[in-house]
Amino acid sequence: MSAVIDNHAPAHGHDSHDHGDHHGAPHGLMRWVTTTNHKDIGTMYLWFSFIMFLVGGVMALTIRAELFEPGLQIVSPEFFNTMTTYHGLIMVFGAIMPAFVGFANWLIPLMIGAPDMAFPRMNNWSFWLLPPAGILLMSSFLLPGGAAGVGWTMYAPLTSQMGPGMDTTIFAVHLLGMSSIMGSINIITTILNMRAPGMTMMKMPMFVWTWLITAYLLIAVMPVLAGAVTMTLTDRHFGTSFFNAAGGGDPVLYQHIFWFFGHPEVYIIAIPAFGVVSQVIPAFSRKPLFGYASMVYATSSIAILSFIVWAHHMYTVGMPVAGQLYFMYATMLIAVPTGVKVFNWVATMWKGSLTFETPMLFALGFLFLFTLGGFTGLVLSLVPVDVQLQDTYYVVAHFHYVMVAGALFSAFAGVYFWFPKWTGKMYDEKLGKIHFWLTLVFFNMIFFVQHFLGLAGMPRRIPDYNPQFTEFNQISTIGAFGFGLSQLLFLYILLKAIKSGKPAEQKQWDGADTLEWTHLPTPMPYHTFENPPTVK
Amino acid sequence: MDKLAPVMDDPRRKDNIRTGIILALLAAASFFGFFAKVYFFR
Ligand SMILES: [Cu+2]
Repeated sequence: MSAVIDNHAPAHGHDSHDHGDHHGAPHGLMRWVTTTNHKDIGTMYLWFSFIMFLVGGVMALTIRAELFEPGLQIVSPEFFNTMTTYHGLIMVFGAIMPAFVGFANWLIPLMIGAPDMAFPRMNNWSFWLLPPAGILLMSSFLLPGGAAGVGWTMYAPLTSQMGPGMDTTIFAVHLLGMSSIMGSINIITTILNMRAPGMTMMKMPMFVWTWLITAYLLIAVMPVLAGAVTMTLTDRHFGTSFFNAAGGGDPVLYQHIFWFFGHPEVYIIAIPAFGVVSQVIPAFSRKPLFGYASMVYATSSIAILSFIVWAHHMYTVGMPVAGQLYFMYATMLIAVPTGVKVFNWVATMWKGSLTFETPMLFALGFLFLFTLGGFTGLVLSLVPVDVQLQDTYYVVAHFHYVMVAGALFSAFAGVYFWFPKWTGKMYDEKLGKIHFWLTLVFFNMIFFVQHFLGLAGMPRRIPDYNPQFTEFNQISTIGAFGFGLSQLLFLYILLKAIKSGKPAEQKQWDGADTLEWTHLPTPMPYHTFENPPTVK
Repeated sequence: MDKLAPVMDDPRRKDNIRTGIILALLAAASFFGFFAKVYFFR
């Protein structure tokens, strides 16, 4: 394992002309409030996302605690509904998305040899919209009637029956959407215009490609979500009837608009996760990524296909059979480019000289479990099966394999992989591995059994259930608390490394070959690539 | 406060602003386009 640590790397970068950093980072609170530095902003995104991860996690534990036994023990059914709703909203918009935007901020300028993001002041604004959005979201709980227990999808007509907590939630979604759109504009502009000489599009690291594609997806669909919740708002307060059947509207229309956003959103989360894994697996296989060009085309195909499959979330609303068939086949088509990607990751490892440090372990966990989540997605794409499984725990199990074992595992892989570069300190490898194994085991304890619950017919989003489901629910709940505690170990690993970690090498992983490892010293100066490197 | 990142006086600044405006217009078109579609052709 220590083979990865390259003791012969120069202590300082061989990029001696890159020393624009004469005064280092400014100090104090105002550094963070006014910063325009992509590294600072990336750090803030990552910490914000971790805090939201803990908040959403506490909500998940509330859900699991209530479901430990049949019957009502801990919370009221209304409060239970708000827990499922805000757990979803916070994890999707507050935890996973900002985590990958944090990676984008840190890594894209470094990987393409740019001095910073293209619009540094807008970048500051993109981040600082998030804390108010988070506070607005949480303030729903303090309003009369409480938060909105409508589910994270915010379906009409339930949304028109909620108290003012619904409105704060809608405004929070607006702010989160604005932040994402501005972040995407920044990312696309940086990638298109700011690449170092010689860094052609097809030489960009795969992570940069995945974010370019993701940012286009965001620009296309975040405004659609903003439109949907704005229509909900005008239905609630300004006399329109977009989704109100009594006024001539159609509640199913909301579902179409939401899922036109919602399905691409799955890939907005998954594609940057693919990007991180596509950097980590080659580094620990000591081989270039297999099939780079096919990876770019497969990712683009996934992004394009994601626009034409949305109604697979709505098979049971009463659509024509022709519609069901179309959405079924279109959805199954996505398995083809996804299969290309999985094949390429496996082929990258084939005959590589593999080592299994923590980032690689999380990347492999991603590979196994995300693929499993993809398979259950394929199962759910079959109309006759989905009619049975719609709104059961099978669906919950499926998308948590995609969101947790997919996106979250990839984010962990990325944090462990780049932590030495970002901080100049090395984390405790042994504790990192323990964190991985605990996370892996408890994750499967929570969600693997939920497949069986769903197949047996347990519906999602209910606080009570038939006693026949008790055993699997208890396994799931115990797993959930283990999973939650394991993440405190993660926090401890990070803090310990920041405080007293051993100094990291410039090229901590000898298979890592992107510019931040090959051209920049560890720790990095505050400003990097003020004079762009030349890429051969 | 630290000096602004060195991209502000970068020769590519004009290109960046042009690209940024085009992308912002795309986002606006997506928002208003969807709104108009639902409003007029429901
Ligand atoms: Cu979908």
